[in-house]
Amino acid sequence: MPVFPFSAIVGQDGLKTALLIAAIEPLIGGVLAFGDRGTGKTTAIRALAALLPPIDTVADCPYRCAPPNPAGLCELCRGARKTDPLTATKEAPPVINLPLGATEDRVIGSVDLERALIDGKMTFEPGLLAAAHRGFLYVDEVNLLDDHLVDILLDVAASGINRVEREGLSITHPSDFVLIGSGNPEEGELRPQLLDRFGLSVDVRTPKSVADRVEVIRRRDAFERDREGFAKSWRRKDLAVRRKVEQAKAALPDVILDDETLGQAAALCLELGSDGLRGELALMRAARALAALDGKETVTAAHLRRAAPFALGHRLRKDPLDESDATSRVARVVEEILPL
Amino acid sequence: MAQDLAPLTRDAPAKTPTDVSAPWALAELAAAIVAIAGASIGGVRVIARNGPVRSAWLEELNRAFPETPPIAVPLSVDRDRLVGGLSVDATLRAGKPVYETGLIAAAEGRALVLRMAERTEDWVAATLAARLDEGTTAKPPPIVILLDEGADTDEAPPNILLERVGLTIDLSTLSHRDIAPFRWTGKDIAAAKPLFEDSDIAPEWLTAFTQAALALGYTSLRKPIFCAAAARAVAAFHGRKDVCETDAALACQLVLGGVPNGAPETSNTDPAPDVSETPQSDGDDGSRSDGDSAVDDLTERMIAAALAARLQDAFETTGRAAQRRRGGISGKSGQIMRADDKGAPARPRPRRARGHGRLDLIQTLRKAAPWQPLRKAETRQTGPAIRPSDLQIKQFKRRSQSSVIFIVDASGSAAMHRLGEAKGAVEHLLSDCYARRDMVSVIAFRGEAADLLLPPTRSLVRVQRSLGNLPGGGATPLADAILAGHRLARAEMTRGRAPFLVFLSDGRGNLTRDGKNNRDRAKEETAHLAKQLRAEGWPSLFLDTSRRPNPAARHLSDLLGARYKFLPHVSGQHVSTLVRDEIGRR
Repeated sequence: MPVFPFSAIVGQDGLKTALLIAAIEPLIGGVLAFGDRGTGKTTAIRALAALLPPIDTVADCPYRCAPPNPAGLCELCRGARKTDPLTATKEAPPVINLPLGATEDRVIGSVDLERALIDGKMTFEPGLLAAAHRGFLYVDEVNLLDDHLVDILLDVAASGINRVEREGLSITHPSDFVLIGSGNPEEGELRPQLLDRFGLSVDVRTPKSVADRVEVIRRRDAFERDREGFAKSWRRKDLAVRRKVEQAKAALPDVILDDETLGQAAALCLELGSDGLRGELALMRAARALAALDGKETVTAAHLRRAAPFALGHRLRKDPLDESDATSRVARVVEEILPL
Repeated sequence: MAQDLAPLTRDAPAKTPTDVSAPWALAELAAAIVAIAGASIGGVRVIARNGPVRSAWLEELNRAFPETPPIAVPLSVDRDRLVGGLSVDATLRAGKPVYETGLIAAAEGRALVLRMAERTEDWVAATLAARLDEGTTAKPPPIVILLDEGADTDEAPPNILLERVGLTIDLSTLSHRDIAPFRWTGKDIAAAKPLFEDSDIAPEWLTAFTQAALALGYTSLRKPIFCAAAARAVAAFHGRKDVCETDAALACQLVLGGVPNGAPETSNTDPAPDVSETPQSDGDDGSRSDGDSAVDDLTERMIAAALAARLQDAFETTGRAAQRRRGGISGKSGQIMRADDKGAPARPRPRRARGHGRLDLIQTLRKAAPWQPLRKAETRQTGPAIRPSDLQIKQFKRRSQSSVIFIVDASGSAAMHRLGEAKGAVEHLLSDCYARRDMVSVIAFRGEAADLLLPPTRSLVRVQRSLGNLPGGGATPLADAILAGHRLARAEMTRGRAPFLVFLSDGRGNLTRDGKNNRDRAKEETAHLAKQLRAEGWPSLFLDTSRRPNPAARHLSDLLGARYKFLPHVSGQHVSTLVRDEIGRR
């Protein structure tokens, strides 16, 4: 069954751009989509994953090792390689949904009960963190997630490695994923530590114009009635986006970020009082990804201007007196530092 | 059979396409819609207490699924049962892995019934919502039937489910005399399904649904999508491929008839744009900025259809509030609740015969270890010999969430200051306790009664919105305030939170519960209620805001069994620290 095509999503340019940046530059450290309900957050994320080019993996490896890289292989693959050459295969990058009530065992993995009970052997049964390796880990209602799970996510997202030391197991496996969180701020805010850990944030608002809203409903209706046909009619556009992402990914290492632009980025962060270096890093990475997406060789002020709300919007110091929202505060400072 | 149903819709004249006079007929139609539209409509929320009417409706719904009866999800469902997994008992018995299918997977395309849906745990709701979002993959998702027994508007199923369930019907006003066998059978549904797949809906209906949903305060785009699916299902049910106005109106009534879930203030915040284009009452001017008047006219009629259902609802809610049951409560703050799979691990316990839960493997093996030589001699099997009696279940402890209820005197001259500081304290508490995840609410009393200014929330955004400009001044209905606090505390307790009451007052009320300005009577009432609170054991803190220590406040605090604190110069930060210490102490 085809999913709703990425290019058929009406509006939500911010969300789409942020997701594309994360797809081009996985180091960005995840996207947080906060905002109203029923605005197509889930749809966009599923659509993006369906659109991305497939990844090379070792067949049957639970950790999705990349074949040409012997150093990065997991224990299972290293063991298997001694006897037989590994078979490579292609698969779509995984999108793993982390449900709110997931248990710790389920997330980090646990003793394989089946084998323990039957063979009496302690083996590791990989969890969601292994399943999300080289793909996306999607947490809907991330602001309602249990604290102890949030801690685990933070730890693994930062290191790219899942270390399991429990129940008599001692296992380490790679777990490199783009963390995508969504939620509604009315239901509770996110802990600042987790907030800061997200590379980009997007404020997802319900479309303002009735015409846009009607268009959303129309497309959704068309999709519901004929999924295959609808997906087909958008396939060309989706493929064009995929090509752009692939080209941008290839071009990214060569995108130049000169000292002047770096200075501007630093000035922006300083003026906004966004805590820590994380904001500055995210801003630079996002700007480079945007330049790559545009097919440009150099990052310009225009890219910084576009990247700033995503990279800095959620890192502003809380000012109890200022009740204006983060987006407009960022816009104000961007106006000042980088006038058009 | 379908012909018999004609009166259901055709009786209704085109101008007033609503049929509120026959809620049972509407419920009957809703059952048909979920059966026909399935995944496209998500499910239905049924507002009703357990009783003959609801049972009859469920019974009749079965007709749509003759071979696949609905599956019930008990409140106490555990993870393995909901999503499936290894069946430990069966595996041990068989000596080879035996898996059990989870309820969600088993319910593909079938109805999944959640009783007491207002008490659904977050993780159950989230897991179900994720499955609904996936839509039809290899298998169709379940059709979710939320049996909402909420006593008042505060008690509702989790928002993430309400958002994804298309229809709402209200059976709570019906008596057993209203019920009748459904006039359709499984055959009618089977005949309607292919029509539904092929059915068509004119673009102007989509526009009308979109605008009507927006005008009624639903900002989510899922609602108009549900309207379209429901309208197509109604058309198919009547043997048509094209949606006509009656179909559309019925769809609106069923989808938009309730009250928008989430915060009631959605209607006055920014995401309700262009509502001016869709006037709710008078549509006399034809000079709209965009869209032709025909569309506006349709929209208006759709709104009228939905509002008719909502009016019905309003009558209903008053009735329900009146019969709210009274029950015993017992509560200690910060108590540790036993949850089977959340929180930090506590000591494992032996597994009950039929209990589900996470198996503590290490403890199980430890328990089995001493018996190994004996058992091995008996069975000569390799590997550890484990018997069901060895099984140990993991237990987790979870501190119950606290819910701090501020009850603030907003009467008299110092009102603005006190309220301002209460707001400061609330903001402080919230920004300090991300990790604790406590809820905060504010009741202010002044003039004639106590008002719930800020319903329990964890969101700073909401605090800033609701406490932005507070009213102040007037008489002091202290008794009413205590009562309001008591009511909220009980509601919070039923939601599994540990309430903590914080009074900011000088302890001098002057308004009786029936609105008379009689200081002595007011004092009597206040004392009476305070003693009641104390007898029930609600933990509280009394912050005396008079200029100098005041015997009246001290006395009231003692009656409440509260901790007394004299605090002439209230500051938000100070209050927040006091409250935190006080909760931490418990």
